[in-house]
This record gives sequence, structure tokens and C-alpha cells, in this order.
Amino acid sequence: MGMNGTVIEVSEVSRHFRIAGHELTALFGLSFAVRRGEFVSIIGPSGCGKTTLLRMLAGLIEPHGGQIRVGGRPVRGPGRDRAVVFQDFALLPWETVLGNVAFPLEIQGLPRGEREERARRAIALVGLAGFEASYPYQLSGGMQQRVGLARALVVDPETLLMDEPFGALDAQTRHLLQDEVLALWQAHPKTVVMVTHDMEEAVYLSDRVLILTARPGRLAREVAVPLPRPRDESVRRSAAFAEAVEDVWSSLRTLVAA
Amino acid sequence: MRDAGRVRRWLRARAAGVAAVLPVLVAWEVVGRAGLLPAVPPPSRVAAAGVALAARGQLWQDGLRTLAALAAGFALAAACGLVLGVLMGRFRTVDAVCGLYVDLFQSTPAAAKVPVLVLLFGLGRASIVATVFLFAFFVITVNTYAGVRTASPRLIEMARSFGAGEAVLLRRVILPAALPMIFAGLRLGIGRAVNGAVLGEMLISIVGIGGLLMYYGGAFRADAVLALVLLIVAVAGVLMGAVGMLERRVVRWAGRG
Repeated sequence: MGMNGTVIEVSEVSRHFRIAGHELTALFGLSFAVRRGEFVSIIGPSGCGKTTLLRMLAGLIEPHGGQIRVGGRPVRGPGRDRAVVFQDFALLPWETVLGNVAFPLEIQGLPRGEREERARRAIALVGLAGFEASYPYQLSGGMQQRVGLARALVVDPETLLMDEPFGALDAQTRHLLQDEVLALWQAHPKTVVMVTHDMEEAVYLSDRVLILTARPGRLAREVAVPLPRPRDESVRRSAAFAEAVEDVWSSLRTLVAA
Repeated sequence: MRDAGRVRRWLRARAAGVAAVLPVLVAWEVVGRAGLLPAVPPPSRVAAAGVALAARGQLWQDGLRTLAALAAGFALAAACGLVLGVLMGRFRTVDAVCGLYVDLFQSTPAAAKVPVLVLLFGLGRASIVATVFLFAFFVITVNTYAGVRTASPRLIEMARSFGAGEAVLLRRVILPAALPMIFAGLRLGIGRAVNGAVLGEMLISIVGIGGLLMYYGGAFRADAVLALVLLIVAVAGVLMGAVGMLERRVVRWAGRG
């Protein structure tokens, strides 16, 4: 497993669930791999099991068939090598920004001094210095998700799992936060798996976009994004960007229409 | 400027309260003095009876006795109610096993349980403490249970994703989320505990404030009975207010999530 070795291996993974007595297959025979330091987006029609896949990568639920390996080991539960950024932020309403960001370190049993110091650094990294003592309800949606991002980064995970991280934000905030995640990732490269339903977001941030079919979710196609790194905001206006988005859309369209 | 506004608002709120009580007091005084209803002495006589009661040592002695039973029974009810409520909220098996009994006991009239308590604990203080316990226990249990069930599955999942075990989950996610409901249960519980203490003293062994109530009731001293009732109402109000104050200190974030 070298610098560019495989970190995440998903092999023939299936997952079913029951709704009102009906057995539904969320994912079936899904296989893919993610290299170290790669930014991969997973996109697909709603109900394709994107979030289910992310929860399995996080170790919150288990596959019913197949196997997921992270860092060479089968996933048996949550681990310190992975951290999740949640769509609805999932902040503790009774904790300050500092308390929320330090929470994972508190779970790990770190002494208060150390966890607060590391939390402050993570908070500064996402541009929230000065808001340490604020409560979530005092912050805008964009700022709350920065807290969610800082909380994931504070444990310094090898892999960041993002579940529609900008899905609950308004368009302008989403744009800004995408720029910041891009800059942050380019400055501190990590393996990222992001679930999204926004094609432009997927193309803008990712090295590769995996397109899943509707229920049951399986890999329909993968698109290697041909945009050079490092990227910045100007990429959004390039012809290559528009082409790449069109490419993803052409695949997605047939799946959504089907 | 803002402080002045706050004071004025406070006064206005209190003024409404006073304005609501005054006409009732006046009407009560008029009816009482007219002697239309022998069971309704005027408030001035009730107040005088209260002062006379307070002047004799008996009231304080009996009052302390009642408060002691109240404190013991309520503390037990709060401790047991919290533990059972949390266990029922977290573990399906406990819920299935105990939920039925909680529902059953909660819906039987509390006074109907008193004779059973006498059989169990005899005619002494233990029965009164047990009465207080039974009056307060179920509402605290049910509210704690409901509070634990309101904890957001998303927050639980978040904590688990960072490796939290059941203990951290309980202390840092589930209990804080349940606190508003738990305090609602404690507030209701303390009110019922006061009921239980007085009822127990009246039905089991004629002691404490309940004993005084029985004594003056038997002597047709409506003024003293009403003075005692007002005292009980005041104590219950103060205790519920104290729980409410504690709640506002502990649950500052409530309703802002």
C-alpha cells in the first residue's frame, strides 16, 4: 500500500432493507476502489443507496453481502481512520462550537487541554476562529457545516466521508463552501468519498465520479474528471468543466429517466 | 434602558397576577362576612387562623415531619424513576417487561394503592414515604422514558461514528436531549409528591400536616383547614418553582436546537 495504493475496497457489496414488509434491495453487487489521497464522488438518482453506502463505509451498518476493506482491513465498525461529515450537520445543540469540535477527541479520552487545543486549530482551519464559544443555533447553516467539517478534521482521519455535505445549504453558501473544501483538500490532501446529487459539485471537487443506477444501486459508470489540479474557482467557467458536467449528465439522464 | 424595560415588563406581568387574585379575595371576604356559607370563613379569619397556628409550635413540628417524608419519598421516586425511565428508553426488553406495569400502575387511582401500602409497610412513616414515592414515581419514569426516546437518532449515529460507546452516548447525547422532558417529569412529580404526603398522613397515621388537616376538619374549623390548604399550595408552588429554576439553569439551550 504505497502513497498511491488502494485505501478503500468495496467488493460485491449488497444491502437490503424492509419497508412495510417489502424487501427492497438498496445496493447490489457494488464494487469499486479508492486510491489514497483521491477525491471520489458518488452520484446517482435518489434511492440508489448512496447514503447507505456511506454509512457502510463509516462502519455504522454492515453489508448483507460482499465486503468493504479500508486500509487493508475489513470494516467491522467505526474507526479512527475515518470521519463523517453529515448532511444535517448533526451538531450537539447544547454544546458550543468548541465543545462540538472537541467531542470526537473527548470520546477518544484525550485530556481537556489537548483536545481543546486541537479543536481550536481545526476551528481556525475552517475559518471559524472567534466563534469557539457560540452555540449552533447562533450560527448560519454554512457556519454550522464548517463546524461539522472541523469536527471531522480534528481527528485527522485518513479518510473523510461526506454525506451530501452541502445539500442543506442555499446555493450561494454551497458555492462558497465548495471553494473552501477544495482549497482545504488541496492544502491537506486526504482520501475523500463524497455522496452528492449535485453534478457540478461532483465534477468541481472530484478526481473521479462514480455514477450509480437506481434501486438496486450498482455502478453504472465512472467518469475520470479531466480537469487539472490544483483547481480554483475559475475552473467552473472553463469549457472543460462544462464538458465534464455534460458527460456526467448524459449518463445520469438515462438512469433518472429509466 | 433595556433594564428599565425589563422591570416594567416584570411589573406588568405581576400586576396581571395580582389583579386576577384581588377580586376573588374581595368576593370571598364579602361572602364570608355575610355568613352565607358556614364552610367559607372570610380570608381575614383564615389568615388569623394561620397566624395562630404558626404561633403554636405544633405546626412547625408537623410541617417538618411532612417535609421529611416528602423529601425521602421524592428522592427515592426521582432516583428510581430516572433509572427505570432510561433503561426503558434504551432497551426494548426492559420496555416490554416494565412498560406494561408502569402503564397499569399509573392508571390506577393513587389513593386505591394506599391500603396495600399499609399492609406492606404498616401504619408508620414508611407507609407515608411509600405513598409519596408511588404518587411521584410513575410520572417521572414516563417523562424520562419519553425524553430518552426523543434523542435524535442522527446525533446518536454521529456519536457512534466517532466511536462513542453506550456510556458516552448516554451521558453526552441522550441525557442532555432528554433533560427538558425529565425536568417536566420532576416538576409534575414534586406536585404529586406533596399530594401523596398529605394524603398519606390523612389516611395512614394521623400525623404531620395531613394529621392537622384531619384534626381541624373534625373540629369543623374551616378557617384553620383553609389556612393549612393554602400553606400546602404555597409549599407545592415553591417546590415546583425551585425545580423550574434548576431546569432553567441546567437546560439553557432548550428550544434552540
